[in-house]
Amino acid sequence: MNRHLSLQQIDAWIIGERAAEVEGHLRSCRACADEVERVAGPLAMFGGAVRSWGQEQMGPARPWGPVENRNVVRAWVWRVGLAVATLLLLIAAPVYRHRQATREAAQDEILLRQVEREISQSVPAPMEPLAKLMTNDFSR
Amino acid sequence: MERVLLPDLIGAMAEPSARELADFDAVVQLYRPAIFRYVLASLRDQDAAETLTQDCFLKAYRARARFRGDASVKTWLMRIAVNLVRDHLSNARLKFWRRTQRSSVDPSVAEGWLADRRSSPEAMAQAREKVAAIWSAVAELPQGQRTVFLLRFVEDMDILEIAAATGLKEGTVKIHLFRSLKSVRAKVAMKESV
Repeated sequence: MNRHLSLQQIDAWIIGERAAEVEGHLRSCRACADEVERVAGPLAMFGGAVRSWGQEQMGPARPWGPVENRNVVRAWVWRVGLAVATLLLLIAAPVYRHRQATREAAQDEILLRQVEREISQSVPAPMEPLAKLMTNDFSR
Repeated sequence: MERVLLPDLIGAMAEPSARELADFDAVVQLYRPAIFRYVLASLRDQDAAETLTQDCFLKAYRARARFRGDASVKTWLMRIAVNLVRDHLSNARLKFWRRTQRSSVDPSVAEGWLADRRSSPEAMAQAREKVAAIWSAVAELPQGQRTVFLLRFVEDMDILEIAAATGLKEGTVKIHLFRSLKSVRAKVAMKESV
């Protein structure tokens, strides 16, 4: 192909029609290659500018899932939460009961000792000074 | 030589695309930027672009079982987006200006996002002017021409992919591309001569 490319051929090349004949001509003809670049260059810049701009404008992804799916997820979260709470209750209840029993046993023990001490005394505690005084008088 | 049956070949080609849909979160992550920028460039309204991108993936998710894999996932998603933009424009024609005034982005900002920033200030200024001229010429294109123009020159899709994404015949896509290119060329040349 000796003649230069027609405008139609250049446009066809730019829109993406890749004819071998045109490709060969563009390799050998600087003027036609420049003409293609004169149009394709700004178009490529335009594409790049819109891509960069779109990237910049795009916000963070919103939750895209269908509503029914999101509800299913929420229901599962509730179920798992309820199961964990039940499990904790099942573990905690015996522990609590055991501690309660131990505390009650200790209190019973203290009470028993107190009763034993009181029984072992010969006179009630308020009368102990009088008893001591009397013991001293008899011993003289 | 072993014969390869056409259905087997199509099946083998279709399989990766259909498999790709199994992890839909990854599909969203991979193709969201392309869908968003196509919608944004078509409508020039950030809110609408976010909403329609969301709608696009929701529709795709619901229709994923019907995806046959005879086009790539990107082309399939782009077809949904093209239909959504078309519906949006026809439904919202009356509300368009009100929406534009309220929440649209300033289109002139796009011309500032040039990929090659290593050029000289003069070359950058010239490039910016050309991009601005193309940007405003694209806005004046009829909707069909604008769609194929954006798919070709922003999304780098070839004629067959554009045909699949728009549902147009290959010949119609070429006509739209030739006409849009001619209009853009003429408007850019007119601005250069001023």
